[in-house]
Amino acid sequence: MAATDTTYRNTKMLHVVFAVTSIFMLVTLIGMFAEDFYRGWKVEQRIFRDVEEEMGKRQVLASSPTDKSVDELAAIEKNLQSKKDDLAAAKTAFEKGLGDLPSRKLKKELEFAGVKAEYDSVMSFINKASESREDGLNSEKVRKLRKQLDEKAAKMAELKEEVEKNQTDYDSQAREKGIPAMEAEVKKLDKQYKETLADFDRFVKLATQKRWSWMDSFRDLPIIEGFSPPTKIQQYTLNDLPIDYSFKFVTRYDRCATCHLGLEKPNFDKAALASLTDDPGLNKELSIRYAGAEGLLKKRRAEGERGLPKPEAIRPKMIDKSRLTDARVSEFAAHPRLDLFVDANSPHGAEKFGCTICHSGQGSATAFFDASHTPDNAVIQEHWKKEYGWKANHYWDMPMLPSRFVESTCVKCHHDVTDVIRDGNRIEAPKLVKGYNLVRELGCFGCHEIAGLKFGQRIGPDLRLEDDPPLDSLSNVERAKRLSDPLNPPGAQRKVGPALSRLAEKTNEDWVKAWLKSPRGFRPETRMPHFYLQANNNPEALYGTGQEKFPDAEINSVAYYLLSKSKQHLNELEQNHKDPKQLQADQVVVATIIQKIKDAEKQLTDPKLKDAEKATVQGQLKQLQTDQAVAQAKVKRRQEFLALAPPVSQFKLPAAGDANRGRMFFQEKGCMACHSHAATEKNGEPVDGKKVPAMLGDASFGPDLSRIALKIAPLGEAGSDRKWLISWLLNPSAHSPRTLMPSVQLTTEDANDIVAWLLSHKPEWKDKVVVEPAEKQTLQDLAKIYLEKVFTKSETRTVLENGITEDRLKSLALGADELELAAPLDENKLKLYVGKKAIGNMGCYACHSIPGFQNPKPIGTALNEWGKKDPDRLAFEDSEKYVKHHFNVVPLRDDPKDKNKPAKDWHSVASPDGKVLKPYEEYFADMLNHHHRSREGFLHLKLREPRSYDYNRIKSWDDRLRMPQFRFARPKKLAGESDEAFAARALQEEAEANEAVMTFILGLVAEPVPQKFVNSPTGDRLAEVKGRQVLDKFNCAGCHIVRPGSIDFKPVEMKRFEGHPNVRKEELPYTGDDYVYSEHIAWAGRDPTSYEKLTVRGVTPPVEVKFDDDEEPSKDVKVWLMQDFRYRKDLQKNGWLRDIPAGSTLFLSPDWVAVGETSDASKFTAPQLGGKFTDLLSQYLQKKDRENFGGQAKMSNAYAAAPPLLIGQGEKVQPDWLYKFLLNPHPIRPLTVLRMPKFNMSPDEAQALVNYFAAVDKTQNPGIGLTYPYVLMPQRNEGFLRQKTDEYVARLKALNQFDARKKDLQGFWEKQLIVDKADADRKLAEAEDRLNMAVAAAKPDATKQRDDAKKVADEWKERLAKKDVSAYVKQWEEREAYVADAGRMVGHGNICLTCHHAAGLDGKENKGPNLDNVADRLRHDWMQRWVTNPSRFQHYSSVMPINFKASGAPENQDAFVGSSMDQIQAARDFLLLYPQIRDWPILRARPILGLTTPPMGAK
Amino acid sequence: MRNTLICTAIACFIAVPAFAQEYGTIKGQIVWDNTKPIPPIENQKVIKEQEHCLEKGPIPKDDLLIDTKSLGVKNVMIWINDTAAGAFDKTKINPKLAAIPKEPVVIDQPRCAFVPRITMMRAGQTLEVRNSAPVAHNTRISGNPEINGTLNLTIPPKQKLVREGDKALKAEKRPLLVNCDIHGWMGGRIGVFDHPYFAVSKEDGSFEIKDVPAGKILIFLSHERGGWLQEGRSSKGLSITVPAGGVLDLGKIPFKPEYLND
Repeated sequence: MAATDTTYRNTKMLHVVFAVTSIFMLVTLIGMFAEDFYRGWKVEQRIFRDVEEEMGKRQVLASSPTDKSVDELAAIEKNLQSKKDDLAAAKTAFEKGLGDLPSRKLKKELEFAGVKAEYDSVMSFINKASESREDGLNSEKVRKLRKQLDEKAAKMAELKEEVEKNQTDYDSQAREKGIPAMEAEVKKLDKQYKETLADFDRFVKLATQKRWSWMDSFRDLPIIEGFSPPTKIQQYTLNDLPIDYSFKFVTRYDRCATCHLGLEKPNFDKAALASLTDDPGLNKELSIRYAGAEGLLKKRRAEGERGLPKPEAIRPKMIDKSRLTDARVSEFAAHPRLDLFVDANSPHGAEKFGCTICHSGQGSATAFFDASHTPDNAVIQEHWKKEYGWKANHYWDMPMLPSRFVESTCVKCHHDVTDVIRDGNRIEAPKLVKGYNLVRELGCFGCHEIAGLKFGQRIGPDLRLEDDPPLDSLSNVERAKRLSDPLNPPGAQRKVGPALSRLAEKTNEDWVKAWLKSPRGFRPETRMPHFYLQANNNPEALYGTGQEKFPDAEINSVAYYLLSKSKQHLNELEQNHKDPKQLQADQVVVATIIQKIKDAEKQLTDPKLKDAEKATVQGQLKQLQTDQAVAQAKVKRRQEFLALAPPVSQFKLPAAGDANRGRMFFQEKGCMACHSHAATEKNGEPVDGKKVPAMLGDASFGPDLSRIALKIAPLGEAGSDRKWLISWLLNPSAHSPRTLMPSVQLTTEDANDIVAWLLSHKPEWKDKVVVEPAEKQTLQDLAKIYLEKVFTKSETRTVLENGITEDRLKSLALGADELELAAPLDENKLKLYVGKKAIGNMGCYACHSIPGFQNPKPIGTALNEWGKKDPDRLAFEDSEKYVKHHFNVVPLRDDPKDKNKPAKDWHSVASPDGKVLKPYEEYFADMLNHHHRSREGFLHLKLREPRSYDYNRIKSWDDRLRMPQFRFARPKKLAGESDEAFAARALQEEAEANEAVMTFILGLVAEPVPQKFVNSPTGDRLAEVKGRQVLDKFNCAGCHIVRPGSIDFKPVEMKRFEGHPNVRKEELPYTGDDYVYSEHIAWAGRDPTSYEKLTVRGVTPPVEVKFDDDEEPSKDVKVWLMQDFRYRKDLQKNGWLRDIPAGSTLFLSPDWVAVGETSDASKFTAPQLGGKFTDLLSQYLQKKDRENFGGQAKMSNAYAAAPPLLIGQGEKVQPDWLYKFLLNPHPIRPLTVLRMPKFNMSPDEAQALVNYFAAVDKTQNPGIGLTYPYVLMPQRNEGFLRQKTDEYVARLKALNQFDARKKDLQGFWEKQLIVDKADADRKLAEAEDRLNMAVAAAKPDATKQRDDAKKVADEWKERLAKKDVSAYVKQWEEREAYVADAGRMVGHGNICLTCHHAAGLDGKENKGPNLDNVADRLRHDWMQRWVTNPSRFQHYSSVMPINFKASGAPENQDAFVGSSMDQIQAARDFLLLYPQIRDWPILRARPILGLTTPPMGAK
Repeated sequence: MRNTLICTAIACFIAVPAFAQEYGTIKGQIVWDNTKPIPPIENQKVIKEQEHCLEKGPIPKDDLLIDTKSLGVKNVMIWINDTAAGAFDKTKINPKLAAIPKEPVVIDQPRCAFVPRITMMRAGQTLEVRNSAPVAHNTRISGNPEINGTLNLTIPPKQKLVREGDKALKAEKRPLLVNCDIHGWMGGRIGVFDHPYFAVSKEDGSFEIKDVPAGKILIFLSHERGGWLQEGRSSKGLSITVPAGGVLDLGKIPFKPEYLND
């Protein structure tokens, strides 16, 4: 077929189609490019480029010279130039004066260089020649060349000598003219000049690099940017921290830094970013800086310096607010804690940890929604919804944590929680630690398992209840066995409530009932939660259910159960203690039975025994065995009871105490370190003519005792309340074995007085709830609920009428609750049954030890993995509506301007039907909505209204939710605060505390984080972390200052410090009064690492009570340094160093201190730990006794009377002493008004504390070489004394004091001859007596002994006759001289004895600790430092002065010869050796110095 | 041009009085409120080293000394200043008083009491605290922590503590405290000023400060037990006008018994 022009399709048509589709494709393609070009993150990156460029400029300007510094700079430069000119001139003049030396020198140098070149060339020929020949260096050619080489070498040596000589001549003459010194100076000035500009130059360079070049702009053009874009996705790849997709672990990619571009740039703080949107023309500072920079750049460019930009390039420009919005400011800002996170040098570098491991969210996402951002409150949420169409992301299990909960993820790796407390008392996750402590204090772990262990592996915080009985009460064998189980080690948490076995001697049924129904109705700040009047059992909720009377009936039953069981226990206790001899009688019974058993067994072995008789005996034996078991059980029980403290009824009641005195003791003996009492807010009645001023304590570790008299009201004889309270104060653990209340070491009289005062306040119980008595019918209804689960319906009916028959009882399990219902039944039995059931149901035993409940299972949900619970598996029920109907939903809780204040709307309102609707954050309310159900929403309501999930549900009594309602915050009304303001603040604090608990629980995810990421502190750090937990457990910080706080600040100038009276300047010789220990942190601080931020570590200075001062308190932030503060003069990196040692007060201008966020009103960046009570007590004493404690100087006495500072305790005391002291404290300091109590502490806990103090001082103060748990005291070393004595004798001889000392002692030694002769005579007489009485066989030995004794006696006789004291002199010279003189100094009436008992002598006033007891207590190096200057180690101006000054001539040479430091060390050595040498006669050889009359101890 | 004029004007303003500074005298007398009986002078409770301390009889509590005849109150500290805070304008000091006296100010502790109890001195002047007793004393001088800080040293018998040159006490707004921790009852004050205008009232309560720059000035009267005594009783002082070449007699300044209440 011939070819035709026709085609299968219409070509024209096809062209059209092709054209159209091409255009369509082109449009699509352009659309795609456009879509890609405008992808969210790319837009962000483009904006960021502008921001970065602008920030670069600002950085240049910040380092650029100002007008003033331009002048300074010019001056430096001018100086440098003139020095350079001088140098040049001097050089010229100098060379002129040298004649032909310079030309000769130059000539020879050139000549030498020429020959050297020739030498090198020959050498290279040799190398080449030897390489190319077989025989190498031995070849002919090489040999020839070598000859040449030798010639050159000889010539070179010759020339070198000449060159060197010329140089030496030149140099020595130059030195004469001072040329090298001038050169050095020019070099130094040049360096200084360059350094001044170093930052500026560096930032200029940086800013130039950051500029958006034309090439960048080209690469960023649409389409072209598809090939090599300047915008890029930034990601961290984390293979070691995969994401758990339930079935598979997948590598974690975090792309957050794609948009959060300023994350790692420290200068990108929010304020700096926000300021970019301000008009730079209006910023005066910036204009000045720019003028300076402009001038500098112009000048330098004009001078021909290369690489400098035009000044216009760094002219600041404004970025429009529509581009750099507030949201972008947050987006581009640096991480607020680069020292902790993100930065490669921080402990959590982003390369290693990424972002989502802490923040959660979808890291691989590059869009706002996909990343699963979470707003922090309802206002932001609303804003996000509008701006970005935000909605909850259901497709991601772990959405990003809002900042309010971000600390919860710390728990993943910080299992101990307290290990987030670093560097003193810097709590890096304060909300988390608060939550942890609340969980610990409120005892959540009693019902909810928080086990940090899974198959013996740590998976989270371990808060398990301790064993019952606790380890402490086990025998050693039992304890060892229990501790040897690695998979299930014993828990460490005590039950948080008191033991109830002795309840009946403490209070009465009426009180117990009212308490059970509404604990806060009695004591508003109690930790006991509310079980009744809750959302699911208040009258409104129960209306019409038939269960209306159940709550009161149950309360009646529980009270009855507790009291009757307790009475039983007490009766038995009383019986046993009344007649303790009964135990022996019972033991005799057991022994008799055992004997009978033995007899019977013997009988059975008799072969003559007939079968019938055998059977009888066997029957008897069986009976005997049963009897034995019963009798033995009886003995055991008796023994147990006798081991317990006797009942209060046996306590002998003293006559009524003095309430006024009791009030004084309550304030002085330390009660207010843990408790408070409303009556202390007003002044008390005077005691012994001294005032008893008010004390405004706010301690809440123990209960508020204002209403204690209403509670301590047992039924029975009059005075039984006093009996109980006195015996409780004297020994709390007798009543509640695991109580944290220590024995305060009171005398019975003091306790009696305190009790008199406590019981004298019987305030009206205004809001006491009414508990109706239980009706029999209600009790039966309640019992029926439980009985029907055990018995059939008909059986239940019979039981409820008649009780359980004896036969049926036997069929019940051992310990079954139904055993209480034995026939015949009465109402009390019903109460016991219902009460026991209720206690079991509510889990009262989780916090209290209750008779009849031993080791029952926790009743709540385990919390180990709650933090990752799927919200779909949470029963939200009708909670949304509950919140709507019962709360006032408010958009914000905190005032956006001041987070410490509640928001404007945050208060309760009245509902139309008159109910009080408390505020509820909309943020959390929204999370109950079915579009946005989340863990946080569920948990928040659960903690707030635990029973609200029963709302609108029909439930039987025992099926209702049981979790009680806690109150987490315990706010106190501030002086001058209105009721309304207080109510709002209280609700805000409660919500915050609730969140803190949530933060902790949300962190319990039990996520398998690889071991290398888990923070496993070891060594000193572990000791610190563990010790802190014990410290908190016993509230040590209630009385003591334990750790200093710290303040970070940015100083503007150092003038204020330069004039400080204690400042030590590096360039000046030190002329202070104390020695400087450069290894110790009190004298030598850490070198400043930055001049942007300095840190001081200290405590608030002592508070002086002002009596007649109208001066306005200054706004300065004051700190009493506990560590040396080191800084550099001029703020420069290489300025002179300055030290202001510990014990000085520093004043910081308040505007310097605004660095970072401050957590405290006093502007401490990290608050100190403890010290409230110290201040409270010392202020009280200042007011009480102005004469002895008032005023700037005397208030030291008040502080000396308060509990001692524990900062530095580790370097101060010997660990074994502290261990013994903690377990068994004894009085040490006579000045204190109170005593260290004896805590209910286990040996392990004491050891943890000892290690804590030592570890802390070791890490804070590495230079002192502290060791623990063992200390080596050099004074105990063999040979120490001899060496010191040798040194001392040598010194005496060198200073010509030796003979005088010897002469001084001659008289003593002569007297000593008489003493020793008499002693030898006495021994001889004894030997004679023994010889006379000896039997024949012993005669030879006795004769020998007599002869020896005679020899000795004769020797002494001869010595006495000759007055030969040489033996004494030898002994003195070899081992006595040092301590003898040291002892004379310690026992000097004008030194130690002015205030201390020392060297066996009473002081003139024993107000300091007894120094004879320090050998076992104090560490030797601490003693030396302390004596040097006690104020370096105190938190107030020490009462003890500097006795041995570092400056000036040493004093007291009549006692001990040597420098002040020699004297300090000698005194220290003497005290440490004292127990060994106390009986040496030499110590009493000479009259005591500095005493006009001998003290009491001298004989 | 205008600026220069203003500047010159201000300069003249400052300069003129400096040239023509004239001086006057302030005097007065502090007297006990005579409607109330004079509180009896008790003795210190000496709890240690009685043999030495009580050698010459009991030590009176000398923190409030009232003359029975004239009712004058001794040991009131009087000083002036030109502002309630801040340093004294040195140009105002009468040139004949400008030099800081060379001779040291001496405090001794002969029998467990500071003699004199009240010391007033110039900043930079040498201070000698002597111990002529046979027993040790520790001398604690407590000042503003930022200016003089606290000094606490033992002075052995027959020794002395000297603060001179760089270590000399600096001026403070208020007198410093001096006390002894070994003998708790010992106490006193040291006023250190950057000008020579101070006085301590004599037995009869009278005082006189000469050569005070004429014009408006603040005066401060302070007593250890009575606190501020000048009118207004405030730390801000009392504004007075010193007549040029004349005498400003403040008359009888009452010391009221209620001032003693804590």
